[in-house]
Amino acid sequence: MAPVGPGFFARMARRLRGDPLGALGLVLVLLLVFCGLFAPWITPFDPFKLNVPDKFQAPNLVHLFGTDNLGRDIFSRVIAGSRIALWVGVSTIATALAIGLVLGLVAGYGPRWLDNLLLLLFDSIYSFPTVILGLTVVTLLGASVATLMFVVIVIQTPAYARLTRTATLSIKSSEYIQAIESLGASKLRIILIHLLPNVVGPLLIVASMDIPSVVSLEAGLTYLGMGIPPPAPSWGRILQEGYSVIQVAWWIVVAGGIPLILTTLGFTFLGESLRDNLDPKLRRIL
Amino acid sequence: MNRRELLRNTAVLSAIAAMGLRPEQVLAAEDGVLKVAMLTDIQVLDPGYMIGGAETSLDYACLPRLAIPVKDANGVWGWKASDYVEKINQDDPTHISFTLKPGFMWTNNQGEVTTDDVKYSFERMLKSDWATRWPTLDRVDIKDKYSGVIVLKTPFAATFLMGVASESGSIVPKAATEKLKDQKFTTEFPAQCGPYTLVEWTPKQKVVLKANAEFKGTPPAFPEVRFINIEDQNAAALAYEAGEVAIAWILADTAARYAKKMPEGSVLSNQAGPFYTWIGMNTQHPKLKDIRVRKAIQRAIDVKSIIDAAYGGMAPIAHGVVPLGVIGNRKQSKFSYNPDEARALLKEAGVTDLELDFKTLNESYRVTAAQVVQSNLQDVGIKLNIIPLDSGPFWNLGLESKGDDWKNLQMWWMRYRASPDPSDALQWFIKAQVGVWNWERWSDAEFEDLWTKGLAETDQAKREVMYQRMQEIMEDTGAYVWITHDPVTYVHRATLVPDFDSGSEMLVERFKKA
Repeated sequence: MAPVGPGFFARMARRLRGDPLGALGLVLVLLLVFCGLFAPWITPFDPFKLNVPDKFQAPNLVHLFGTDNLGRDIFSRVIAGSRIALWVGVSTIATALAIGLVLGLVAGYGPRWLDNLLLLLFDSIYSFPTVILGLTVVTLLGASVATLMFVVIVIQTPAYARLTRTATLSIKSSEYIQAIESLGASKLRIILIHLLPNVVGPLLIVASMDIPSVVSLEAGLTYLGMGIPPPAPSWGRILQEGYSVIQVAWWIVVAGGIPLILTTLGFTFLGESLRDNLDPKLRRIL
Repeated sequence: MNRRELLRNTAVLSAIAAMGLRPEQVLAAEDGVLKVAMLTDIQVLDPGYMIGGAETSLDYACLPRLAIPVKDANGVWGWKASDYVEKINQDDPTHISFTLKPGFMWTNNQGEVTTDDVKYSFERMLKSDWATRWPTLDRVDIKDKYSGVIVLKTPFAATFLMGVASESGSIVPKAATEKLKDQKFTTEFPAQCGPYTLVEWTPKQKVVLKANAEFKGTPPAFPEVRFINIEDQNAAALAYEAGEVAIAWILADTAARYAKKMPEGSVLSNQAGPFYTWIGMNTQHPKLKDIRVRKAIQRAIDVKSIIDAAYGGMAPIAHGVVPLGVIGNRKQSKFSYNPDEARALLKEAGVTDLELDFKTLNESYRVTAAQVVQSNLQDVGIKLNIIPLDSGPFWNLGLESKGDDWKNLQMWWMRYRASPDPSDALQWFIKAQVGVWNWERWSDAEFEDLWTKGLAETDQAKREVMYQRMQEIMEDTGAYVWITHDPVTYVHRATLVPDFDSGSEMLVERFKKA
């Protein structure tokens, strides 16, 4: 894998010029990040402000995406929703990645019995159907952002842990690790200094491609009424509210669906581009 | 659909198109068969153990009864003698005499409908799931094969509306029912004697009724009625638009859409409905213990906006729990939307930074309504967290027998259903119901006294005053924000004149052709 260092961004920019899909992905992701970070300042209307007399206005110059059943500006809600998508997507994946990395390293480099135990745990969790597990946990704990993030972390962690474990197993038998071991280096030092940097790269690429799945899962659970409670402008909620009035106001589901599609495309294109440019070997497994 | 069916259907549709007919006109008129949308499939037809919905309609259509419900010119529910009786009369407050017409025969060779059947049917209700419909029934005395007297222990003004003339007054065949296990039946009548007979039930699909040729009363207008099971009301509206059914119960949003642009040849039929919806507050919760806080919330909520947003403006504003068309229905409440007054009350109570949980069933229109409430309360400085719940956890919230959730319950959106007597709507708020269905957890001596007196009072004018006062007492607790009596709206073909009972269930045997 190419190291991240001086000239990395210039090199990436050069490569992206020759990869229009990757560039498009980058633009879409940057757009999402921009909307997420600056949502409170760039929304033309208050996304929570009710204006019932103006409900179900079709898209117009004032309300670009129209208004919903409570007269709220959908364009503002879509922008505000990007903050939720970004927060849920990035923070949960980052947490799952961190936990998965530690567990994967421990499983791969630790004693055999611990490896078997952890593997059993990973596979047990991994074997649950994602949405069903999500619905069950939300029913037990109640719908909230925290519950949703907990569900995503539980679901994603085993995947990263397994990937890390496999990478660790293949590296730990390499000669340079054996040489360091013979020099008497501590296990902690070997894991942190020598194993971690070598397994984290591919993991980051996988994680970037997982973000849209998490955003979709959040939207999906919210659509089913099991995600983030109202009035938060989650894209899933916009879709849900739009579905029930689709014959009166078709534009609501369109407005809720477009950002989901763009986010998925953005992260997927960018992730594939990163994979191709940084670690072409991964093409075989991703 | 196989290849042959595809070809045949294509040929039929082409022929219809060639004749310039709209497909739904053809479907609606198919062999004089009336197709109606049924929201929930049948499970128990036995009047003692039924659940409701289409089961009610089928009991009316296929079983005899002494009286039937009718609405007067003012929209108030009353009753009249049915086709099955020569006379039925309230002789005094505790005695109702009746005489059956001879010649009404049960199917399955079960003989004639007699006083024996009436006695058996009414007295078995006392041990049934619907015993509350007959709260003071003592017994039925048999005079002869066709005559008898219903004897009450104490007077009860709603004996007709809740018992005799309701689905709980359906008469079952004694001999055939006694032979059944536990003397109960589910989806098959032991014998029938109605304008229609149930001839076919395909679970999750349809129930088919055929006009009963042996029936001696008024013959029904349609030779066959099919109840088509469509569980989603949006889907039912689509089925109606496609011509699959001639009548369907639709959502308020759909009704609002149709009101603007009606499907061709269609009519909306608004029934007052048996529902009452309110926002409740737990008077014992530390955050809501101060009556000034509750009264502030009553005045902070703009019910008109809720009706516009959640019901498409197609529902009346309620002023109490007794539904429209029922004695005791209130026309005015003592408070109205006034955020300034709400702020003043909160200031007087010394409450700042109040944060409350608002629980509701996870249904789209209820969540919409909750968001209006949230916005209204934010305007007066109260933060509201909306917590949508599935029906299982929701219906356990206030029940002490189901855990400790009732201790944390603060505010919620609630809808109950009532039969057409005020006592039915008010029964859930007496002291004995605290921890059961009185989730607001209050009690009042005057309310209890009026409750007892109201049951025994037979003068309707006096009852009206009593039940209105009871709702005033409820309102004065500050624990209620009245929302609406959810209207029940049916869309149907203009060529059909439908009829309904007080619970807005279809009475297909009383449907007419326009």
